[in-house]
Amino acid sequence: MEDAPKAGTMSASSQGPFAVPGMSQGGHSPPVTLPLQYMIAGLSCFLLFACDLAWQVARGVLFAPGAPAGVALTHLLTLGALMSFVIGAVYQLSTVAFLMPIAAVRLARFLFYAYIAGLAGLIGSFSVWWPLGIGIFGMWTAAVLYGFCGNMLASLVRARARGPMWQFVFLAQVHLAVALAAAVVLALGDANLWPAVQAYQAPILATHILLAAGGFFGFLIFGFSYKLMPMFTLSHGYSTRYEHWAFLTSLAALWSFVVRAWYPALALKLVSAICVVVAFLSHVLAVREILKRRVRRRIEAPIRGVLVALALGVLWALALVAHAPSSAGSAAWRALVTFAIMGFVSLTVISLAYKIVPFLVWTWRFAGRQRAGSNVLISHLLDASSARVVIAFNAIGVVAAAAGVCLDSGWLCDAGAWAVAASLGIFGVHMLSVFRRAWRKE
Amino acid sequence: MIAVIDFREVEAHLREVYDPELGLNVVDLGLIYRMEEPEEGKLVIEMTMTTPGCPAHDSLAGAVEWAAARAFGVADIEVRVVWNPPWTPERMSPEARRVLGWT
Repeated sequence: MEDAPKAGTMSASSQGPFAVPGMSQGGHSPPVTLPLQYMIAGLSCFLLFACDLAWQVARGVLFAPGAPAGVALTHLLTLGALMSFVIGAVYQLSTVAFLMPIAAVRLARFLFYAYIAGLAGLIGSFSVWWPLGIGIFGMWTAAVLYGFCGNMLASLVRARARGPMWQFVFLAQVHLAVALAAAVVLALGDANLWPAVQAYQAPILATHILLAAGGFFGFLIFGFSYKLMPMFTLSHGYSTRYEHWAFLTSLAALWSFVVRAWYPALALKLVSAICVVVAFLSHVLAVREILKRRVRRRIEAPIRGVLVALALGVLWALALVAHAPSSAGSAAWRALVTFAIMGFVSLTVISLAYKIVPFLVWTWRFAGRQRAGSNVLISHLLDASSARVVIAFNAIGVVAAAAGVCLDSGWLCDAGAWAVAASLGIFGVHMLSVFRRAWRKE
Repeated sequence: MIAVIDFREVEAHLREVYDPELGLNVVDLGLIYRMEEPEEGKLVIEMTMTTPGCPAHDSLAGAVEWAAARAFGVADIEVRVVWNPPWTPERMSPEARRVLGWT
């Protein structure tokens, strides 16, 4: 490729709204992009979580209710691995899905480092149960996440493309803000700075978990599915009628659960469970519409992983109808929350990582070089079919662990946890190989 | 005006530009809508993407510009990314359809 490009003109339509913040497209050695930074942090937390999970199983302390190690482990997964990945994905996908720039890119860059510092302090404080540290780093992390929410809300209100996907993503930020407020109130109660709230600890905790797991992670997964599934399967001309139903019923389900956490006497038990089932079924139908009109006939392993996670989500929703726990914090409630986070949220994130991370690394290292004739493809960085073993181990592990909790079988719980830890270890190796191959290809 | 650009040569160069996700070149994918030479040495290419808001939008359009610039006689290039008419799978070549399992 000896020729230099001649004078050229790129039309205005190929710039602007599609430019991803921090995504240098033509530089020789661009810095790690912001979404990629978050995803590397998420990957590190997944690996730490896998090690800690295996360590706790080996010591026989897994699932000890309220144990500091368990609280640290939970937040390593939710606030560390999942949140980091999801923030990276939100920054990356929102700009292309809603044709908008991020409102404050410098703030977003600063918040990354503040987030990592706050997260490290908070997880460390949880693991040794240092209340002052939990308070300080908890407030710190909450402030950082409020910055993220504010930045995204300010960006989303400027979006040109709106619809159910936008509604899901917009409300996810609102739900995260309320979930954080619940966490701050809980922390103030625990530290005796606001003793009056101790009497409401259970509903506040339930509000925090419901809005963070369902209202934030769940809403983002549902919403971004309507961008990612058509994009990865090359689907065109599909019906979007079920997407509206998925949004309305998800919203009804989430808030009926929250209200029920505060007023258990209300006859909402069945209503909320049915709303969840209808929401999942509407989402399944929306995804089915997309897949029916796909051009890529062969569904790749990561997309199959998303579908497996969705199947686990439906299973979870049906379990809610069969046995809706009457009190937040009960063993059944904890089992269902764990199953939702690890079976639906985590497996979806892991599966999508097999598509998103190689794409980001390709954009980072090769997008500019493509103009110079380099034909490195995303499939050169990672064989998407390698996701199969991780998805299988992860799904089997989650189901086994949940069955172990339900049947009160310690060995089944441990076997499930080992399978999940092993799957995340293999996942980490696969993700690291993307970076290794990228450097080799240069 | 004397036409100096050989569109077949431009197309041959564009066949070296691949969609990084699909592993198919932009010509076989049917992303190139139109090529014209409105004035001597100026090449205008109208192209599209498989998905509106395609994350590879910038890099793909840039790669098309770079590849086309290698053709003889091209002095100036304008690459226009358009969404109307939207891309449909019918625009793909038989080879691309076969690779994607779409018939």
